[in-house]
Amino acid sequence: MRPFGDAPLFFDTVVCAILYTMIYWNADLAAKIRCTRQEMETLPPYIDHLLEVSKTIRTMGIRPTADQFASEKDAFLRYGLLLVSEGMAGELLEEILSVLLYVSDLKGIEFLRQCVTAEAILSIANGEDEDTLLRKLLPYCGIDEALTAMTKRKSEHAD
Amino acid sequence: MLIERLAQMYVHWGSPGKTGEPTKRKRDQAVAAVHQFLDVIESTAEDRKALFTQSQQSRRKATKLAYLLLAGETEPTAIHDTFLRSGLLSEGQRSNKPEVLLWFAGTEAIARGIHPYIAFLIMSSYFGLETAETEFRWLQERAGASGVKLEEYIVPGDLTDSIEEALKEPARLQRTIRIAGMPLSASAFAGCSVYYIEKILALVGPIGALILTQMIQSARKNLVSDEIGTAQQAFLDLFTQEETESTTSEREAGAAEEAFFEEPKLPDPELIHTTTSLVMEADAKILKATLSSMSNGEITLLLRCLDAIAHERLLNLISPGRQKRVLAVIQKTENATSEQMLRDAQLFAQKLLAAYAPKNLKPGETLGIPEKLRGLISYLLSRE
Repeated sequence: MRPFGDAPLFFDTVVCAILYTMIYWNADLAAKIRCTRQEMETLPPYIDHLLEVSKTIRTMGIRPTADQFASEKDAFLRYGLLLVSEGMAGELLEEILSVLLYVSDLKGIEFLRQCVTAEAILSIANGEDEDTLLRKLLPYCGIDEALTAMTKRKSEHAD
Repeated sequence: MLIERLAQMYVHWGSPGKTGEPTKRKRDQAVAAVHQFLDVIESTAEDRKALFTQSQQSRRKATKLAYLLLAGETEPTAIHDTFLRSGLLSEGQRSNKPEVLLWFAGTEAIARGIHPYIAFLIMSSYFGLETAETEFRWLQERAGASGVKLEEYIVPGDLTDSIEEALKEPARLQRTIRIAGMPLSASAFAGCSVYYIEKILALVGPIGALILTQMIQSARKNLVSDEIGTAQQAFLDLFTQEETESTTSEREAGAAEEAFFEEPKLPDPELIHTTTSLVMEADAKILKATLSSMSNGEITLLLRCLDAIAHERLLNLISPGRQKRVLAVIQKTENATSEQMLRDAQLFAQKLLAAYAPKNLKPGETLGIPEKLRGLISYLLSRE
């Protein structure tokens, strides 16, 4: 059995984008976030949703009521935003989110999606702007996708 | 990036193992033990004897060890080493790994001076997302029912004068509270009237409101007017900076994209000089206490704001094991902008200030901080 399934595809997508930047390599984690290019193509629309959430919170703020985010179906995003509504950010929020990812039972694209969500929650909490958020989230889609998206944004801005 | 921290956890602790679904009874027992931990920490405070008694009464090894280490006022770094050497995380105990890590994380958080409610949230996250959210709701109810009230205590300052205006922009104020962090925010709000504090507390949920209230009470006991005034100025500076950032963000959008692959800016030499002087002038014992209250990540960020001579002093004040971990974090740290470095240096200055404040200081008394050091702290906190 091959340890990474379709190894070239895997290295082309996930490894280049995320794990290449890691000093701390771990095979268990690599296996957990393994997913195909097709699966990763579902990430950009989700990142768009996260950007919208970030924009809304930046302009409207968070109303710390009991039913806040009750309509949010993504449980990870909902819980993360609840933590933000309590004034949490920085190192401590990062610790909680990374523990949730560490014990997560999900695998593949669902787990990768949780990683993207956690990164977005942290960025929102730390008051980072849309560009910073995007620079942090796009690499999860693979280096090719990130470069394409950044080039597209740059040309749109130039227009 | 967060994924790097996750990778570190995997490298450091190995795979979490088959967390699976523990039996309901087992999970309920573990959750009840964490509830009890919160009760004990809140009720015993620094009563070492009570913590020791609790250790003797605990059945589970990890729980027993947690109380014992806290009763012994063990340093956070030593807690890490003790859990590693305890054998609880060895091969034969793998099935309990998340539960052992839960107790390690909670013990270390309390030893670092983190608020018990935050420690509880860290601990409950080891049960997984579903239980973590359930416990979060439980904690919200508990915080909401606490009924802690503040008394009137006003320190004239820039924030006191402009808080009404700031409250007209709740989103920006919420963001500033999160960026400043609870300790700095609470020190700043300590000088505001109860009327305004209640309006500010309504901007965060019940857990955050209770933590802020308790920190405000603590700041009023431990800080004198000058320190509260300095914290107010620092908070207001951050608030103003947020406005500047949001109004210029659109203009700078193109520049930010162009900077995507550019080399980072050179650090501000004046900031490095001031922060280095602060580290070199501070009392070794106080500096050591300050470093104990900081995470490895925060120390790493501070090191970026210092000259080599101050690196040496800081690293000599932490254990060799922690030195290695800090140096390991440095290797993966990205270059920072001068704004980020300023915030990191200001966070350190605030923590150093808090470490200088004795717990029994009465309002009106002056902190025993050397004049030069006071000047450096004030200068750093007032910088934009």
